[in-house]
This record gives sequence, structure tokens and C-alpha cells, in this order.
Amino acid sequence: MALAGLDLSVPSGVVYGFLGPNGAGKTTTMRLLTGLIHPDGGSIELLGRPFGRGDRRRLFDVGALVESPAFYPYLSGRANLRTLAASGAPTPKTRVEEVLELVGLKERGNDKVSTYSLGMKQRLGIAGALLNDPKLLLLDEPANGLDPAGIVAMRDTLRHLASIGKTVFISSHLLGEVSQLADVIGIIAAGKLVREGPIETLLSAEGRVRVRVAASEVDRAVAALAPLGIAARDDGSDDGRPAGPATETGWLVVPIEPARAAEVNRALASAGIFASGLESGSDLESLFLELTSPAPQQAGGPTPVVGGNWQ
Amino acid sequence: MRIFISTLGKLRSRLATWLTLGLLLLLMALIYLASGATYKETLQRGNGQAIGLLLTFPDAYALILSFVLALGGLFVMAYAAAIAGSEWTWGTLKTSVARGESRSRYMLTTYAGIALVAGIGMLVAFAAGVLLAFVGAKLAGIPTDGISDTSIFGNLPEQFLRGWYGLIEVGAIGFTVATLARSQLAGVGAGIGIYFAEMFAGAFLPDIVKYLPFNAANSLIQTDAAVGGAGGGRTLAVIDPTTALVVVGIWIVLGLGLTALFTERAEISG
Repeated sequence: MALAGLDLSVPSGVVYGFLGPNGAGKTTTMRLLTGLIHPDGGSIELLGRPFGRGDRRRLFDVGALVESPAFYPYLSGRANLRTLAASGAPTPKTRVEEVLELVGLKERGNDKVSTYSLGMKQRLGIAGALLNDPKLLLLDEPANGLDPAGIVAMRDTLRHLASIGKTVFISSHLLGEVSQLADVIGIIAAGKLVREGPIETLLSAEGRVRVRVAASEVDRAVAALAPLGIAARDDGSDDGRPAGPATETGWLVVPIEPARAAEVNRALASAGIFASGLESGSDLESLFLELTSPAPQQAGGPTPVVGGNWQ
Repeated sequence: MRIFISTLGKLRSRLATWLTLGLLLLLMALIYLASGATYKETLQRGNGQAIGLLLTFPDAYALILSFVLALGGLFVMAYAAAIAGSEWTWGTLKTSVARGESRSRYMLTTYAGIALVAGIGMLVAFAAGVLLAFVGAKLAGIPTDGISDTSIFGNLPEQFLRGWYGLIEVGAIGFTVATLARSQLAGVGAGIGIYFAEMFAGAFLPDIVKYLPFNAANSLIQTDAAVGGAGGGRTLAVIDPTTALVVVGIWIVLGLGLTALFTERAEISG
């Protein structure tokens, strides 16, 4: 996947969720950041400094799990970590036991990796990434194969790491997982960063209110909302409600922060229009799909809103 | 040094290490014991001289070494290819590179570990070969008095070193092929293919083929009744041992250099 001017700003001490559909360039980005591949052009900055072919030692401060976890199947989990510790960043011997404990594999540490489940391999991969006590942790789909308890444990571990100043960069397509874990997200589509920022800010900025009035009052409702500086639009929803122009369905979509839903209701009531339905909210899934949808968006046209946890 | 020691630990735990050595010893046991058991019968048919040479000490020492290197060359090549290929197919190279390890140092140190294991394997196989030849001689009723004849030992250390040098070369070829193919199976298959291709090509182009890896390695060890060196004992034309040292060195440098270069430039995934 070719990346086009991807410029990520990852603040230190946060969990950064890197989102994108399949083939968007997430794994390519991970490989670039770990020196597994090198860019044809442009430059990379890692931990605040340029990162090129000759800068492999920069990775001594980086822990990574790129694509699937990779181990010698005939060695035990413990022996694999010891083997890994022998390469790259100098690692104290005691660290192997620490990370095994951290990921809950101490009891199974002497079992061969070939006997591990996918989730256990994933946990061992995370342990491997933590071996050198990195400043920056790069994890590619870290929740892959983990059971619910494992996901919760991983989430706690990553939150803890961020709380002690580590930067955690996770790529994922599990939006629910990222929304629970990340402080900041970046969304990539077709090799380009299409949105980046604190998750609350992005969701708030992308929020909208949907309001249903009598079909015959749609024009008046639009006029009533105009003083608020709001351009209400037809709701071309495909979430199960009848699709069609607002003059038929009565549904309008109002692109403002969910917290201002009451203002919408008040403005309509002031104009003598009483809403029969009002929904507000936003979610990562809606935002993600809107930003990564391959279908071209028509400026000013109907905005599809798909699914979501509407209140 | 950390990687080297770690590599030795990995190789010690790996089934392929013991399987390769075990297979070599099994083949040797079959050949020596069968030779010993059938010697008298074969002699009665007038064809026992070669077997007699194989089981008669002290000449048997040189033949055992030659035999170990003949089979060992092919085995070491396949073994080295399996180790190199697995670093790519299992993704373990990727993990180390992502930790900031030097790509070429990692691969070359891994090969150094293989070379040491190959040398130890050669010594073990030689010791086992002496024991098997002794048992074979007893079965054949051939006197074993010559086993304590130490006159041949003076030459053995040099022969060992030359043999090990040859093993390192053919191992490096297998290692390089597997690295380029990024695959265990492809590496082993291509390595064996090269071995036999060289053997057959030798019949048509002996003056060229004698400089190729297996023939050059084979030329390092020359005994009066050679059954082959690291290249397998099917040399049609040989180069003199001194030239062979240089040619083998060139192949080692070329192979491992190519490995290092390819690994440094490769896009790593998986």
C-alpha cells in the first residue's frame, strides 16, 4: 500500500488508535516505523528524530508487535523471550520473568509455543514487545485472538503503560476496542490520514442531531433552525427508517454537537413545531465509515448516518 | 556474542539438528554394518576389496572422514537452508529487526552457529564412524590391529579442518539459497537441486564444474581411495587442494555476502 504524505502526530504518554479499513496502509505504516521496510521517498521521524536505514538503534526504545506474533514453535514461551532478548536492545535477564508475569503467561512459560492458543501467542507477542521497556509501543491489532478477559487485561496493561508516560500506538479495525482504549485517534484511508485528534473532540465535532417533524412542516422547521446557524438537511438514512426526502419522511439531520440537541428542540418549539422524534449522538463507527467510505460525498447533499449508539 | 550463544541454544533444541545427525549416523550404520555382514560372501564372489578397504584400519580412518564429509555436505546444506528459511517463514527475523537488531549481523551470526554445529556434528559422526567400522570389521572377520596405528593421526587435524571448511562452504550455499527464496522448503529443495545439477553437469563440463561449490569442496579432501569430500565423492575433475582452498573461500564470501546484502535490502513482512 502506498502512503501519501502521512503525517501522524502522536503525543507522548497517550494511547493512540490508528484506524483504517483493510488495505488502507496501517500495516505498511507499522513496518516503516519498525524499519522492516523503508520509504521510496520522503522521511520518517520517530521519537522526535529522523529515522532512516542507519538509525536502527532508535528501535531500542520501541517495542513492536507487527502483524502476527512470530516465534520459534519448538521453543517454550520463556525460551523464545530469552532468545528475543539476545537481539536488539540490551535486556536484563530478569525482564523475561517480569513480562511473562505481566501478560499472565508465567505458569505456561515452559510450554512449547506450538501448544499455545492464538490468544496466548498474542499475549506472548505483547510480552516480547515490552521486553526492552520501550518508550513507544507499536501494536498491530493487539486484540487479535484474545478472549474477553484477555482483552480487558490487555486494555488495563496498555492504559497503565500510558499512565506511566509510555506512548502506545495501536492499529486496529476493532472500533469498539479503540474507542474504549484510545485517547487520540488517527483515521487513515487509501494511504492518507483523513482525521486525527482526541477522540472526544472528533466525535463531538462530527456529532449531529436528527429530528423528526411532520412532513408538511419540514420547510418551516428548516427556516426555524436557520437563526441558529444550522443548515438542516434531508436524512438519507439507511439505518432502517424509510429513506427519501425529508418532505416525505419528516426526518432532518442537524449537524451540531449532540450537547446542543435541546437548542434544536427549543427553536422548533418556539416556531410552534413539535418534534415527534429527536436523536442525538455520535460514535466512532459512524465517523469511521463516513471518512473511509469509498463512495464520493456530495457537498451539501444527504449525509448517510449508519448505525450507532444513538441516545 | 549474545546472538551467537542464543543461536547455539536454538540449534540444540531444534529437532532438525538431531534428525540430521541421526540420519547421517543411521546411513553410516547401515552401510558399515551391512558391509561387515556381507564381506565374506562378497569376497567369495571376488568383489570384496573395496569393502575390505573400508573396514581395515588405519586406512579406514581417512575413508570414514571422507565418507562423513560426502554425506555430511548434502545434509549440512539442507540443514543450513532449513534454518535460514525458517527465519523468514516463521517471522523471527522480523521480530529481531523490529527490536533494532542489525539484519546482516543477525543472519551471519546465525550462520556462524550453524557452522560450529556442523563441525561438532562432523566430529561426532567421525567418532561414530570409527566405532561402526570397528564393529563392521569384527563382523567381517577383518583384523582390527591397525586401529591403534597412530601414524595416520598426524594428518587428520588438517583433514578435519579442510573438511569443516568444505562443510561451511556448502552450508553457506544452502543458507544463501534459502535466504533468497525466503523459504525452508524452497531452500532445501533448491539446494539439493544444485547438488545434483552440479553432479550431472560434471559429466559434460568438467573444467567448469570443478570450480563449482560442491566439487571445489570435494577437492579439499583427497584420499587415495576417496569416496568423496563435502561434495559427495562424484568429482570427475578436481582442482588441487591449495587452489580449492581459495575457490571455496570465494564461494563462502560470495554466498554469505549475498545473504547479508539481500537481507539488508529486503522488505520484511510476515
